[in-house]
Amino acid sequence: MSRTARRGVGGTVVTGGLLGLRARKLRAALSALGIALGIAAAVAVLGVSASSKANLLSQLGTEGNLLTVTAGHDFDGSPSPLPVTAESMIGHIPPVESVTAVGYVSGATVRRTAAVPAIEGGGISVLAAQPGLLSTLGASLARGEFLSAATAAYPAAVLGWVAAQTLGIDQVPPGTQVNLDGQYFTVIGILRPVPLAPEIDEAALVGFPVANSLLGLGGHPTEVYLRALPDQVQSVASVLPFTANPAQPEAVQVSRPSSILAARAAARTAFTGLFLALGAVAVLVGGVGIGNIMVISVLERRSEIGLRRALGAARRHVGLQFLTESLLLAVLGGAAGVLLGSAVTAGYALASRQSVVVPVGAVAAGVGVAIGVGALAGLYPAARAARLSPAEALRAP
Amino acid sequence: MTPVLEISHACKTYPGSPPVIALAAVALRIHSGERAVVLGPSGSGKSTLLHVAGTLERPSSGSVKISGEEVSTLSDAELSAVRAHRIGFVFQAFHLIDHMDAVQNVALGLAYQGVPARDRRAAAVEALDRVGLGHRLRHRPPQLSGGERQRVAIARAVVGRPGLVFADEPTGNLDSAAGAEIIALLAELAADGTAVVVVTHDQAVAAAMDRHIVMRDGHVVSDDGGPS
Repeated sequence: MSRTARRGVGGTVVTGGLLGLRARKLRAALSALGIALGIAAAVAVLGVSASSKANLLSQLGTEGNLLTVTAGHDFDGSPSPLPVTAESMIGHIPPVESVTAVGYVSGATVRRTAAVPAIEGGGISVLAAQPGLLSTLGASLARGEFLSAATAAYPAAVLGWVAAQTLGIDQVPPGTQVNLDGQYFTVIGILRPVPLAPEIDEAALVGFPVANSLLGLGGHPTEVYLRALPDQVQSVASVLPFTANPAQPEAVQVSRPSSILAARAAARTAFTGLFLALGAVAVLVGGVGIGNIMVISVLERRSEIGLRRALGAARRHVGLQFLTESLLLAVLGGAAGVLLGSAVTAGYALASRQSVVVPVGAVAAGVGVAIGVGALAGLYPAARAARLSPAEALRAP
Repeated sequence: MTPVLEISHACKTYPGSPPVIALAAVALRIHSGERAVVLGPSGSGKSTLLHVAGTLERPSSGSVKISGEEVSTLSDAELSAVRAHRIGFVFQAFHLIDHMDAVQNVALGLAYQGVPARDRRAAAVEALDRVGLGHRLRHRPPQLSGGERQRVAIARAVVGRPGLVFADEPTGNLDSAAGAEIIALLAELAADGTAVVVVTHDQAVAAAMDRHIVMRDGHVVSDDGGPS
């Protein structure tokens, strides 16, 4: 009865626990269900928000180094112009990688045909744009092609995603036209949504030369987009007002759309906290359920406890056996929950065409919480089982 | 020779008003290979004696020695180890675990000795062979007759080769034919040097044993082997 001779007992306790659970499969499954659902909810919520976040980050470009420069707004709400030199001056700041300007054509209407009353413009604006817009914004075309040096001088237009939907244009066969401020422009392309610059989505884009000649823009840009070296975004932002408009630097507004989007995404995850709390409640209730089942199990199995004590089980062996059963229940529940939650995440991400991200942290936390809850739930029943006197336990029917 | 069991001045009182005196200064010595039966009416203290002697209960006062070792001062873990290595039990209600087969039930008798699982199985198969159940290894208790179940329980009690086996009404749930088999089996154990102490009402069991200890009101009133 040396201590070393009794070392092999641990394995017996675990297999004993497994056997005990196998004998009561339905009950085990039902009592683990609460934990499974709670952990599944938590993993799914974290997985779905991680997948959405990954999706957003891929939209932003991981650097988040896009800056926009505007000159504020006029009294009527239309953007006020920047100096003609703003774009080229900004382009000379060394850490600036690329720069492109757009010019808001004030008061221009956009209609399908001249037969549509001018008042029903649908809120679409006309922006003069440069061929470099696509690369600077990281935007892409849904249909057709973008403005080039060749088409910029002709009445050709590229529609933003929302503008195209508003006008009812989803294809660009040759000859598709829109009426910009009374003149017909040929639609040569449609952009995909640009999350970093939603104003582009609601605009019809034309070249600067044609905007100047046909729409009376006057060459002034109203907004400049630029990408700076990621580690120098802050310092570039601080010199932008003077560079863009040395005469009136206080009127220049510099913003970083990626941080606005990130803040918006963070606000959207406010619900995550709520769902996590609900998941935690489910896990807690599941834990109470396991504790409850274990207490009943101790009562039902008094004669088995007595027998094991008679066969030489010490108090700690009996306690450990019930604790193991409780832990196994919780861990099985937790594992089922992790699988279920991952499946839900994958289903959601695939349905919304995002990449599937199951956060390892959430999975580890799920299993960890299950172990913790199982241990807590099993503690009291295990102590009760261990305290039972062998002679008394054997008297049980 | 050191007795396998030596009880002296053992008292056991249960709280209540008035307190119940289950054992009153009992003295008893059992030697290896002895076949003893404890007789007496219900409430005479037979079961308490078995529990105290089997270290399942501590005496209120007095001394219990197993193979010369005083056990009343041992910790729970040490006491459990004494049960695991030196004492076997057979119960009236068999106390087999229904979801385990015969081999697993018998192997449980070695579970708390720290014997590796493979050796436990081998020893269990051998013990089942010894009680004549070599053909019933994979059967679960509900698939066995009462006599067979009690034989599995006896195999479990002796698989760890204890020096002392206690049987509490081992034939109480069996018909006379099955009971006779069990008595024969218990009697055989003593031939190997194991001391067997049976608590019973069954006169057939009593007749098969060598030493008769009669209890009444917590006292040993007659003992034909006597404390030697």
